[in-house]
Amino acid sequence: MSEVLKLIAVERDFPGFRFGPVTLAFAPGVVHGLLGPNGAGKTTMLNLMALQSRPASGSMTYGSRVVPWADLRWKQTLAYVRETPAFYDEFTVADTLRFAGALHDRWDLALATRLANRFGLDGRKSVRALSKGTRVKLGLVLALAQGARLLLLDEPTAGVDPTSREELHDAIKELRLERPDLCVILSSHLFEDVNELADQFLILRDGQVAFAASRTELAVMSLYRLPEQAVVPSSDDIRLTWVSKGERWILLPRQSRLIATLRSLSGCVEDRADGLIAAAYRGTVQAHATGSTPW
Amino acid sequence: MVNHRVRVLLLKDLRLHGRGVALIQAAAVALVWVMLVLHPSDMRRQASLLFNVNFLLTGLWGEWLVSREKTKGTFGWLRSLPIADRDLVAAKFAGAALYAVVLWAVMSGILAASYFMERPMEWLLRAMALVTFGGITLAARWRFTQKVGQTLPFALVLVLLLGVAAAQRGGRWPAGAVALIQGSGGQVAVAVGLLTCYLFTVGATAVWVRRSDTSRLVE
Repeated sequence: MSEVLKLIAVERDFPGFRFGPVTLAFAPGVVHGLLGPNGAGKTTMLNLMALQSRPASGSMTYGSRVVPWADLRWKQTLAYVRETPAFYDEFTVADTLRFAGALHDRWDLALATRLANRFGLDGRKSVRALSKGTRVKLGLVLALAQGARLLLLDEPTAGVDPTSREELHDAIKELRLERPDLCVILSSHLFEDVNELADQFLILRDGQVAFAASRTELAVMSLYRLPEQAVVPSSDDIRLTWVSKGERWILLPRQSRLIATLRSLSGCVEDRADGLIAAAYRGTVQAHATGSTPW
Repeated sequence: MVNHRVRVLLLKDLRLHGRGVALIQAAAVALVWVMLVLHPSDMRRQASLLFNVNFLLTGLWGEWLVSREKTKGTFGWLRSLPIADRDLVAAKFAGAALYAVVLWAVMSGILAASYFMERPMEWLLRAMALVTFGGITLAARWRFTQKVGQTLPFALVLVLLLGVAAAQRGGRWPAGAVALIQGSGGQVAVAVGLLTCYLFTVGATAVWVRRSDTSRLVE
């Protein structure tokens, strides 16, 4: 199976906000970083994927199988860790593991115990006493122990201190070592989180995919900044163009013949491609990538 | 047959609320017993007192079972686990019914020998009324906001009682209506009505939950 999940023209309307249509595919063994400002549609997208919200139109497929609303097989396959995971405060960590284990068909108690120990989760500790970061870690343990193939993380580091953020980064990296085929979709409004962990970058803006690229693809691209008024010849090589703070940003392959033309234009500055995500995230994307989606 | 996931959810609710329910039940039994000893009255009044206390507590259980999950957001977690919506609904209604029946069985035991042993159908009807009211309380709290959800079930009962009182005062209540209801045919009709109301409440809630986004299940 080449993709864990495919979204096909998925749409959902809310009062004052429309998500989609979005078509995307998510591969196993990849961390997909989902960026976007508040209200861009990140949580909506995760909710749709986790069957927490019902799409108005479009479909999701898992392999060749269409995922219907409230599908239990799909819920066995994915784990969803919300921004503030809501477990039962009255339970201990061990109770929570037992409760979740009783509801999953492929629960691996030995793995749950081992991971809980590795992440420093005390089984006797009450959930009420756990910090947000520790609750997220508990969510990660639950995800792996249930044998999830897809892990959805919604703003896992929002509101945690820098030390806890680093610990969560390490925990997610450890999960990848433990389960190399696990597909992770990590939503954050912090570029640093995504840049640290993601292999694929996805920027949402106003419920639309504004940009999608792999880390590898970015490595063979160049980014140029020009005055907003600069006249740039149209070209299929241009993968992305947007305007931010009076400057026009253009992303294109390093081999592009257009580069020579750009360099000849007054005020043209070459930028590092790895600065693209941060720039695109903060800027106003005016045109979507041309050509096919990179993945 | 209770399936495995419903059983797990029921045990979870028992763990979360069992101690509180048991304490309040014990206090209510003690209170009612003391009242009956200190102010003995005719058996019918005593039976009514028992029922009314149960009625209030049954409404409380239904509210508890849903409020906690809504306000703490744990319905969201449950919804992301492999639990069918029908199992989630079944577990909540089964829990509310279980609490109502256990409380009624324990409390009505005070009057078992002197009153209910001779009136098993009345005992059963009162139990069914409690289960139905508990179900309505649960459904209303699930479906609506806190204020509406807590008020609506009592408002429905109030409307029903006011309707009966108005009919009696206006002379539209047939003279033999009470006797008719108390007759065996009337009791069966009341039982069928309560059962229909309960099943409709469960069914409507199951359909609503299945169609709803998780965001509608939490506050």
